[in-house]
Amino acid sequence: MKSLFCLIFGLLSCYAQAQKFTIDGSIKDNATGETLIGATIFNPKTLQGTTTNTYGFYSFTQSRDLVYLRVSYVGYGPVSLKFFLSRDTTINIGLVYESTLKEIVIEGKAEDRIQESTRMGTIDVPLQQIKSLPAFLGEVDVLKVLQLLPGVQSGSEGSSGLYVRGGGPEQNLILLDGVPVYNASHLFGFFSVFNADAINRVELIKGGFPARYGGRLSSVIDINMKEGDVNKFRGEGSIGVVASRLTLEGPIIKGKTSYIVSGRRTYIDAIASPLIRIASDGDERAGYYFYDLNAKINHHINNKNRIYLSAYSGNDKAFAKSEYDNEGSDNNSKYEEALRLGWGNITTALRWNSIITNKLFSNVTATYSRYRFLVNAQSKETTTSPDTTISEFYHSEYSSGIRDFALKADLDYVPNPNHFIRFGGQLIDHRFTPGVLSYKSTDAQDTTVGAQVTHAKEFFVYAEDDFMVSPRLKINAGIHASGFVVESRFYKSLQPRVSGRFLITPDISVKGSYARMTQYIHLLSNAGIGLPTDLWVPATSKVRPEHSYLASLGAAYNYKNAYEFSVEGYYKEMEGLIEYREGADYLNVESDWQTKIETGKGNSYGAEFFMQKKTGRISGWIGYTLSWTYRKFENLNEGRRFPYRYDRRHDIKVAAVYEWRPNREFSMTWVFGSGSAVTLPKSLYAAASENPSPNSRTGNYEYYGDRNSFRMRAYHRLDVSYTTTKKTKWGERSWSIGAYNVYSRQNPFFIDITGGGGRKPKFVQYSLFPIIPSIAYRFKF
Amino acid sequence: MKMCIQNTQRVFFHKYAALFLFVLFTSCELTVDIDVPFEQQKLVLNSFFNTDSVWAATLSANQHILDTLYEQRIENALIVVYHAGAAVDTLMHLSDGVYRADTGKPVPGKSYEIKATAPGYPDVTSHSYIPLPTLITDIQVTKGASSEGYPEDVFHVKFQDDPLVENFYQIYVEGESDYIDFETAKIRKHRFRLGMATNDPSVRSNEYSGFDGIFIKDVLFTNGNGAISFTTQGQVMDFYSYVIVTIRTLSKDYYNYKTTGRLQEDISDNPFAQPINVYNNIDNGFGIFAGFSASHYFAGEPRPRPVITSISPLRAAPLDTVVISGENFLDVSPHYGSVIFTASGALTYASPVRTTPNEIVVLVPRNAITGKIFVSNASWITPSDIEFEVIN
Repeated sequence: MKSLFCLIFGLLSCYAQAQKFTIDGSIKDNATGETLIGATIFNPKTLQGTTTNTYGFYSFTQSRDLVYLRVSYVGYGPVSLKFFLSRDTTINIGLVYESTLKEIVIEGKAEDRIQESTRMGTIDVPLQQIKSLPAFLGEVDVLKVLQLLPGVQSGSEGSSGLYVRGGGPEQNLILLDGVPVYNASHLFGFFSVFNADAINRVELIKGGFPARYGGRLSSVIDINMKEGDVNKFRGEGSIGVVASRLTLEGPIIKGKTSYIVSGRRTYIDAIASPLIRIASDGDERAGYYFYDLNAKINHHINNKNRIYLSAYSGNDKAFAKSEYDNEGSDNNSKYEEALRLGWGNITTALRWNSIITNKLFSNVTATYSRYRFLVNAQSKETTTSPDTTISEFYHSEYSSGIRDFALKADLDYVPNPNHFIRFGGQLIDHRFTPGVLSYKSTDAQDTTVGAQVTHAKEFFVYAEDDFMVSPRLKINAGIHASGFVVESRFYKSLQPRVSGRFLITPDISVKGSYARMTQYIHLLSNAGIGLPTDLWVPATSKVRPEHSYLASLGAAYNYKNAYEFSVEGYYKEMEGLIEYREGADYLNVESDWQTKIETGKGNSYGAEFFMQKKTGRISGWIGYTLSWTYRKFENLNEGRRFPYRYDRRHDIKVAAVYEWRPNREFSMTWVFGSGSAVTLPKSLYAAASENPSPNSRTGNYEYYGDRNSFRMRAYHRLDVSYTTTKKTKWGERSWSIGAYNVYSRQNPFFIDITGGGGRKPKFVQYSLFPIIPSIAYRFKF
Repeated sequence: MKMCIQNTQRVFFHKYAALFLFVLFTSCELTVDIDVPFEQQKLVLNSFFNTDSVWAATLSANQHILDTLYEQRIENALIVVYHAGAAVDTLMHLSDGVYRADTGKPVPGKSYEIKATAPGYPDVTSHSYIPLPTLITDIQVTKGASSEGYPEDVFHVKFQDDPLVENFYQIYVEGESDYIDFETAKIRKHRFRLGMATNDPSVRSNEYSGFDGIFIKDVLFTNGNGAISFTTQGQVMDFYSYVIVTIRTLSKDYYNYKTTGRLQEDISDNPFAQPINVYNNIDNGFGIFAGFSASHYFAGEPRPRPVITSISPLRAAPLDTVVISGENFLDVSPHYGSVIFTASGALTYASPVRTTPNEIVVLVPRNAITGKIFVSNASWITPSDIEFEVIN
């Protein structure tokens, strides 16, 4: 009897121990209702925890017991809860924003601390920090802040292009609310298309890619737009040297439906246009501007279902018009010429979040993305003589672009705190138009050349599990399978992804990861400086997709929850890269682009050191990268390996924000990069003549040696900014003054050779920007 | 720091990019010291060879990129041409680094080696071949107009393409017309290379080069038949006494040298383009040793030549009216300055008063003297058989 009692008691106690319940819900900003992505939910008693997903949703399964929950998020005051968990429970928590990046005293442990996460090569920069750092001409630029991270090169001066671990700018998957943005730059890359006021969160993944991402080789930049305040109408904006911004958000149905609308426009044209007109005696007019418009509507259907509709549209437009009159003795003529140039993106996403069960969350998205580039030139000449009027015209238009429709489903399944399973898939319909020229004139019919429109279907499925094997060992393993159908050819790729961490002490871990990636679309870039003329083209039956694999090994250390240190070594190989053939005439759209390219390989390896401090009066980071990057093409450089243009041996980045008094903030960034690789002539020699004769010369050819065998001067630059903020009756205003390139370093843009005609030749380096001061006025209400 | 707005112009090579100059507030120029190591000077040996000419070469030395020296020719070298290991010719120094054989010419279908030795420089060697010439089987010329409406002639040329070997071709067009030396009154012939353009799919974008002709690889030709279409600037068949189409069968060396040379020139103004080296097949040095064979063909019939049957009167005073009768005075017009009289120590143009295909009415120029009269129809110049007498 005694033994039976013991057995029953034992079973009951086992049952009681095994009985688990799930806590789920969402975590938001208490005031605005804005989703907090990556917020931590932690039980200090069981030392288990989880984080919110991209939609602020979490699911956390614990045993039937007294549960302590501590909920925290950078910059927000933490919340502690204590309750007895006896059934599945939904808890939605609002955290209170505690002004600028106050130091959080974290008791116990948080799940997403750097040493505990399985993620590698992933950096999340708090948006508040992005906004606090100095900005070129006062325009806060998300992509330029990402350039300040180790492992990311910035390309040429002023450009917002990202070169991640030896990859090209086309190898970055830039997602705005899950929709790929194909050309993320305005004005030849001096500004990026993302308006920081409309953004909630930015994450850069440069290695250890989780299985849920795919389609590009080198990085994922995941940008989430704000959802809009569900409680209160508010606005913010700025007036700057080149552009002004205004963002408005608020409830449509209080607590249920919200909107956000954000716009930005430059006004260089308003200043320059009249000057050009005066300078040309009214004969010429020209202008340039760009704008961005973001909008999002967010609706809570009920506690389990939400829908969002978000859209972005941005365009660059330039025009030039001229008009000349000629008065002759017997006739008058009038010549008019107009040129228009424009490029821009449109992205749209309709998204439905659903909490299917307290452990299963789904997100279904339908998206549309379009990028288009257009040049339109026309001229007209009218000659009037006493008896006749003759009119002649010429009109030509060049356009190129890419258009995507996509449907995507992502599911998060959290069976218990030791597993976080994600699975899903996506189907994309691409349409590529890589260059169409049409023209007509008085003498020529309507003619269209180069209409090489290609349709392609891309799809992928994935499954991954973030799996706690033991308290020390945690692994994220997954598989990403993708396919691409083009020109009745089917490309497929199976991409294993694995990353893991092993805790040596609670504060130190070692990490390793491996990821294989496939990219089915290529970017044909003619100058490597991110011109809008760059063409997106698909893999075709002749041109294969790009593949890469990336292996990395590293360690992470967390010092008193204030400083995070990481070191990562990586090795990456890429194949199927494309480049224009030597001297290919890329402006000639009449011939097929596929005949103008070469395919080859690349590799990159190096080490990145990173120290980040996200909170406190001084916050920021220091990064150092040591790396080597090469390319090898059978028909370039006689088949020999050559350094990539942005192969930079040493790269140092420092970014710091210092709040020296309440509402007085000083920030600086300093970057240093070894000189980028460049091809320069080494010697001159005589060109051959068909009929050689004494005392005649036919000119010289230049001998360059190996491609990219010279180095430009090192690049370094200091930017600073000072911001003072003041509360007003209506809200808050701040003045920001800053300077780009404070000590006016003449950084190399390109090198040319001058001389000839008896003068001694010399190399001349051209620089773009000396010190450029800026001022911006920002307001919030 | 020197402000220099004009230099921003170099920043954007795209023609539309000039629009954006005003947003680049300043641009700065800095002379930089770039360490370009001075390597030992090497010989530059340039020698094209073909069946129509004797062996010839020029020899010079390369120079450091920052050197101001201008093409230093080498005059004391020994240049020998070999075939199958045996010396076939030694090139003699003519002057100024130009070397030439006496009579030796290359033989089509053979491979040759060249070696140049000069004191103070490493020896250079190279080898190339001279392919067999090919035959043009058909040339058709039709009149056409460019997309802008300008007149042009459209050429369709068919030729044999040996399917067993990789072939490289150069096709160019020349126009030949008479011109008269005003001092000696001698009629000479002059050939001009004509400007060409093509959209032919056989021609890659970097293979077309204006006056240098069109360079093509045989990749798209099948069954031994080569074909190419191209246009000339203007309706050239109406301008020249003869239009000659030349097809050269090129060694791969020649093709590579010419096409890469053109590319280097084309991108020299664009600081963002990736510069390229010109093909070089001289071991231990620079330059080119490359052979080609050429075949020449007339396109269409020659232009009709003016024929003078009579001059009336046979003697006249300046400013008197003279009637020249004959044939093919087709496009004789005042614009062409197409009647020429003998003048003291030279020739002089006369302006026709009226022309028909068979008759020209002209005034004797003030400075005319007794001598021949010449009639030109833009292609040909025909002298009179007899001397016209000018009475003063």
